[in-house]
Amino acid sequence: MKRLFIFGIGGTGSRVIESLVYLLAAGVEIRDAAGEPIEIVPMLLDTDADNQDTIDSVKVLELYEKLHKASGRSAFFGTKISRLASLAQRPGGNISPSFWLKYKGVQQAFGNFIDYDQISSLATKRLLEGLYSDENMNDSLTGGFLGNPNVGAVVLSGFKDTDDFDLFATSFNSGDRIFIVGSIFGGTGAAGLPWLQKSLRSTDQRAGAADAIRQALVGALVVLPYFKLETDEDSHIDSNAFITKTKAALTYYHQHVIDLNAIYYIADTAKKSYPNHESGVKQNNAAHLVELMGALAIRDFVQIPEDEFSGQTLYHEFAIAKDEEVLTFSTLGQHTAEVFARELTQLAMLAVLNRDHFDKAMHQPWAVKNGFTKFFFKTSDYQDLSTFLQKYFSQWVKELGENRRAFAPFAGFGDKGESGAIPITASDMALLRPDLPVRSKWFQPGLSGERLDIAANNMRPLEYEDKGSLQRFLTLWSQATRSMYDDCYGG
Amino acid sequence: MQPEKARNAFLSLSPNRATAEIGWHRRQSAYNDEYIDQIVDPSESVKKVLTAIPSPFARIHLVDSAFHFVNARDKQQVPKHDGNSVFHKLVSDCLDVLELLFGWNTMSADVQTSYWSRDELQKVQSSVGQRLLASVLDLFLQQDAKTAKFELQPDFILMSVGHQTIAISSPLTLFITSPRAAEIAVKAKLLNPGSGRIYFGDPVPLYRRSAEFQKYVHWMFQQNPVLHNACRRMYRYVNDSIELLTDRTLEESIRAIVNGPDNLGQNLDTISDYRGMPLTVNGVQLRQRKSKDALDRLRKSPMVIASPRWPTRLGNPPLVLDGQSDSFGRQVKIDLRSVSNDARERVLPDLGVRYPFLVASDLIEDQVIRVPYKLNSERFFLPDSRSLKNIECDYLPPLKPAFFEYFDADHIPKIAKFLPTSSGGLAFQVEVPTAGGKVTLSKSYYESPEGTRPGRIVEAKMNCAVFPLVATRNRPDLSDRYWVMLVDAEIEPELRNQDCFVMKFFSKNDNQAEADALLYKEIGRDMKGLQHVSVVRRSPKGAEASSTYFRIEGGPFDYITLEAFASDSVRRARALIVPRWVEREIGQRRAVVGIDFGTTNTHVAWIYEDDKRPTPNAFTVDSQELQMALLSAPSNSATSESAKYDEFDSSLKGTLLTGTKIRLHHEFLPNIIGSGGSPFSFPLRTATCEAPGLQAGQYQPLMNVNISFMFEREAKRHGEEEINTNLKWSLQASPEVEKRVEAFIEELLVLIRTKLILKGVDPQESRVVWFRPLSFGNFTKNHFNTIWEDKVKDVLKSKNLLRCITESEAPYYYHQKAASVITSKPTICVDIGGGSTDVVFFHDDKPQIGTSFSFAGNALWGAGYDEVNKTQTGVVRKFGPEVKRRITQIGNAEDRRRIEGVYGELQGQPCEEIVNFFFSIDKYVEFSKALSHDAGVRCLILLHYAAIIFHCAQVMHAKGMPEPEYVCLSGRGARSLDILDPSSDHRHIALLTHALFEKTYGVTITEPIKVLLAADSKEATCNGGVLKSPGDKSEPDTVVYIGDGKTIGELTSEQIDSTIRGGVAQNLGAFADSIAELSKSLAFSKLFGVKEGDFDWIATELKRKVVDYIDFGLKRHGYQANPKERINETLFFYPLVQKLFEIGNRLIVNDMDAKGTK
Repeated sequence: MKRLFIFGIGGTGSRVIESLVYLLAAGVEIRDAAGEPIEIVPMLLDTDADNQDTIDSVKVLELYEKLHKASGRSAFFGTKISRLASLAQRPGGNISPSFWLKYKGVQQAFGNFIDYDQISSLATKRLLEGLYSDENMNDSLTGGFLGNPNVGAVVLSGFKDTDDFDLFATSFNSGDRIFIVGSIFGGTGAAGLPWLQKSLRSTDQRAGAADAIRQALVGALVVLPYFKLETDEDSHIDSNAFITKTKAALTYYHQHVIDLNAIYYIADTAKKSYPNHESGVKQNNAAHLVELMGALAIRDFVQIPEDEFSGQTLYHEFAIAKDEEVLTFSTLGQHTAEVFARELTQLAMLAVLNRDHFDKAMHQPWAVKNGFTKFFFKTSDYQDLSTFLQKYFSQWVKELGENRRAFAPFAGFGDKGESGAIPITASDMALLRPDLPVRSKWFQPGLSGERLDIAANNMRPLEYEDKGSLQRFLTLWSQATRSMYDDCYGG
Repeated sequence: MQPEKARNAFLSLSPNRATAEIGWHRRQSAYNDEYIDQIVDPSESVKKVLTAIPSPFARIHLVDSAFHFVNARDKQQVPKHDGNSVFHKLVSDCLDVLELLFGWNTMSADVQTSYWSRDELQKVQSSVGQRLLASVLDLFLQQDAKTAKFELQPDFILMSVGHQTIAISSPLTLFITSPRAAEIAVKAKLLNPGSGRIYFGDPVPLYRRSAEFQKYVHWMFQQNPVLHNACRRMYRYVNDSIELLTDRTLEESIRAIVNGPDNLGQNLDTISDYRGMPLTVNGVQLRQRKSKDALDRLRKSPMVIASPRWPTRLGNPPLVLDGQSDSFGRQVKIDLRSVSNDARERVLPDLGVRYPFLVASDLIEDQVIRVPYKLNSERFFLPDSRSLKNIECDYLPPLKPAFFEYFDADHIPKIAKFLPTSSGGLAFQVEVPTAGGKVTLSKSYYESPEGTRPGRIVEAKMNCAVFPLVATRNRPDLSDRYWVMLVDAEIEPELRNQDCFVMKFFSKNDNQAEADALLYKEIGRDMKGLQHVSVVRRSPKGAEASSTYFRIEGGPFDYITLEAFASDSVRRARALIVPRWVEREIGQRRAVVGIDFGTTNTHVAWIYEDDKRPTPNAFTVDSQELQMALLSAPSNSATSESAKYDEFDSSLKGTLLTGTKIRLHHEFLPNIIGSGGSPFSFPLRTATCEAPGLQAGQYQPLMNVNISFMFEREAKRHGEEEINTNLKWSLQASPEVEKRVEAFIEELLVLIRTKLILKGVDPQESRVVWFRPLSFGNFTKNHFNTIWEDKVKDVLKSKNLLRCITESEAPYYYHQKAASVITSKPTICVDIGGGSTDVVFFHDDKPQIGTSFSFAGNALWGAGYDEVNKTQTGVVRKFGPEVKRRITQIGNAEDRRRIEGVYGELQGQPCEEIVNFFFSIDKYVEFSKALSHDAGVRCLILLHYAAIIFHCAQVMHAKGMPEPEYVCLSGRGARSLDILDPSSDHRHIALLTHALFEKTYGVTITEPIKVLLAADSKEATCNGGVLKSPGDKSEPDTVVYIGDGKTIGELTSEQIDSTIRGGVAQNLGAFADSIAELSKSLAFSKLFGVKEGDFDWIATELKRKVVDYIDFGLKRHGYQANPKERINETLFFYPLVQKLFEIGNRLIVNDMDAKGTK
């Protein structure tokens, strides 16, 4: 199986990858031009050890990894996501066990990191004085690069000396592709992206399949500003300068970051201010449409046939059907919705059922026949699913819907107390997709747990796997929800 | 169909969001310049310098981007070169570097160039971090070699100020500045010529910069096509800037440059790097304007200082700038607030050229010192203050020492002045002459300036005096010592323990060879230096002001800096005190100076040596020839010349008045001496005033020890001073006394030297005569002689022109000239002093013999051999209460207090001192008059005088001399004879004298003996001394007549046997009989108003206990303890000393008792 190595750099990288995980969990497929499935190897590169966004992404990935193993022929969790470490012949050593690569750069000031005072070349010191400000030199890097990508470019380069990079390089096979995700206006992502591009292409890079890597198709998602930060005089990050910085960075990119095969640009006019947290646990921004669409860019990149590149960079932009503040699948545009609307709706149905239906449905034939007793629902396998759906996916949907610009494909995931919020329960899910009325028949109940039970009950008894396994459960429900979607929204 | 679909919207930053596309789709190109330009940046005012670019060379790209953004056009398609955004700032900074280089040779700070090459990276490998850094720098240089044009510029130019980088070269924009450039520029005062501001400050677009610079930039791009591509954004900016020009002429000439070959290059020089190689970026040589032209023009500017001192140490003649005109005198306001401290390092704000210039604060202090009195403009150079309401100035010149780098002291009144300001303050102006006229520099001062800003009028209670204020430029050896008295009257409790004022003395720096030497330097305390200063803090602060004395050696100083309240940040101030030296050429004339250093009094008299009819003058200092300069002005309202200078103007009040007066008169010296009604005059009491507790090694004349002008005029200042008298006879008593004598003599000689210089006399060629009593032993004489020789040589610089004459001989020459004493018969000169009487017998105009004995004024008024001063003489007992009463009646309160103070101190002192004091205040208490009415007193005086003459006659007779014709009397002790015989020719005394000689000689003397009483005996000595011909080397032989009526010669005390004693007693009896006889034959009661019959009992009394009293005398003079010692005087007077006391008691006390019974 061909692989796609994804470098998710910084907070934005993590968040885009997290969005990708939800898409894959919902059953969106990543296939190459030939229709072959692709193994995804996401590598989170974030020097900010406390970045809550990245921490969450890692948890989501880990849950996905487990659930994928249990998914079998289910469309849910169907795509293989592998940690880098899993590619190792002999894991261990300094290879990062987690999706989050261990390379954290430094936890000190840049000046200390490069041992500025001890540099014996006076001329180099003078040169650095010309290039770096006192802030650049003296601010602690504990929290990442704090909007100083020129510092990040140096610090991150240490990554290429890690066992992780070595493993990546040796694991790389001709035909595999590389995708880099990072924001252009922040610190870590902005710093890592061009450096990684240059490093991968550099003739000085000799690790592993260096030639294959130099020849590899590399795509990049360049995330431009899509939110603002609340103004904070003391912060190193001034979001008023996001645009200024972006313009400057873009100017550099278009002239100097030239050896990429595909570039995906995405941004949004900032409509929401996030609390200003330079880094760390508090940097836990609400999920945003841009991240989700960014995740779709990865799918897009993978399916471009190799011959289309023909030595030139393919540039991409993203468009929505309606420039509205709150988007749904419809206003996002049919073209885009087609890629993931059904899958995500299925997962949303599953999430609702998990939330307030399954514990009351153990008497249903689908449960009885397949051995989904109350013990099943208490297995750790199921608990993982439940956690994924409840704690992460539902939260993600809620955040997407409450952000601005909002992507609110489903009702019922927002805060219940919110005025105008449409309450969705398993007993009545008719208004789950606000943009699309449920097609109903007079003799059938509307979209609800009951009807989903019917759909599940109608499934052919599964021979597949053991009774009472998560595999059987996921398969059942991916089919049941698919059938329900087609019934309610299809055609 | 199309419009329908175009309702889709991009998720992008572009304002052109409408699209027909949907979802992820291809676009033709990268987000390129054209795309980026349409992104609206809401934050163009962001001031934070941004590092948005993920490359270690981010800053290079950032500046490149900055040009790109500033190249944007508005809706009218006008380039947006004006603006305050970060980008405008970066563009401006980049242009600043070029402009800074454009003025390279005249740059305002020391900017260094060096290089960085990739090879340096090999030295950056010593840690993981360094290796990463090196690899990333290398990676980006390699990967961006083409796109960032690093290939064009393998080495980076580094520009630094004081080891700090301000800029590095950039292949994209020629230069970028370092993030700290602005900060460094402020510190280094790097001035931008175009804006007149510090470099790297507010943005200035190219088209607003100097025409010269603009032309150069266009020329450079025109000449170097390589830049069109490498620096394409900058190139566009440069081209676009032409459109913005409003000056059509400039626009045309720039278009001409852009369009074709131009000869502008001729006006440009290359810039050399530290290796001397041309400075190049992308292979393009950078240029600068020809700097020589700018400097040449400046040297000819009308603003150039017109200083008599030329050239100044600054090299180039400094301009004088007042902020109202530019460097060439055009009326333009320029900002002078941030000029460098060093005038040499300054950069003209309007031109940006490093060229020295002066501003107000170079010459004028921030604060002005006001003293609470009028300043002495006669003796000090002061600014013109006629515009102030006060007639005379009371503000010290707030000039800085730098003034003297350009001007002389006498410029101060000509170009500096005080003016009132409209806001109630005070302005100080210096009209500095310049090549084109003058430039007025000024500062204003207020009583209470706002907040903590300077410009305060600081009141300072101080005064000072400079002595002597005379300079002899043609004879520096005679200008070798000066003293300055500083009075600090800041006696508020919180200031009592500190010196509020510091004085520093400056003179021309002879060592101009030193690099950077200032024209004037502080006179240090280094003894090795040509000049030095020593300081003595004499009297501490208390109820009165403190005093500090400075001695400055090695020549007159040029000015004093007075620093006030150094430890008080608000009141701290400084001013100059600039003495008006009285300049004198040393003349050709010579003088003879007599100095009579007497037991009680000292006198100085002098004549011109070449005077045909010399009339000796007492030493005086009058207002025409003041020697001292007091900072406070003389009083205009004073009634006498003396009061004008020594009593002080009423403006000098309180502690400052008393402080000045006390310190000046007690510790230093008065202004006026012997003139203009001065209470201070020669003869002067022989006394020193000194700081208490001095050891011999600590004596420093006029600093801690000085001639006491106040002794017996004012009470001693307890705890602050000690008065010492009896210097003459106790020279060898202790080393301290010797130091006192030396100090006294040095001060006298400095006064004399100054006087002579002012009189056009060469002190070196002048003779000094000093006087010794006959009774001085050889040792004492030699000791004194050594002191005189040393001091005369030290002060007057003369050699071998010192002479010593006996005190009693000297009056002869005086009388010889004054009274035309011409006789073939002998003349006796009798000098009756305080302690001793000296007699010289002249014959044939030559001093033949001399004799001396301890029987003088003190014997007349003293208490005999009472050693503990317990017993009061009859005179003191009788007249003391009356004098005391009269003292209380003295009208002038100040005099009364002063005299009461002295009188109080005299209690317990020897009676002769008390009587001396009574005589000294005679004009207040009429003591002489009271005495003259007392028969007993007259009797006593008669007896005293008669004893002396009796002895003289016996000596002459014994030596076989003919009888005399003249008896010349001098000395303090002789003054009492006026009481006995107030007639001008003293004929009654002459009769008595005549009779006594006839009795002794046993013959009738035909020629009446005449008595000459010197009006002032001190003067007689001194004047006579100076009048003695220098060729006359004669000296009298000293004889001792034992007093027994026959023996001549000195005996040791053990030789004084009973025969000798008996002889003396018998001889005294003969005297007693003679006087008793004469009292009848000459009718003393009529002649002298003494009581009839008194001399009968006196004669009887004189014969009693004579032998005992001889022993008293021997014992008193210490001979009994030293039997081998020779007795150098007659024994005749030993009993008389005690007898006179006893007889006086009886005469006067009987009279008192008699009156008491009435």
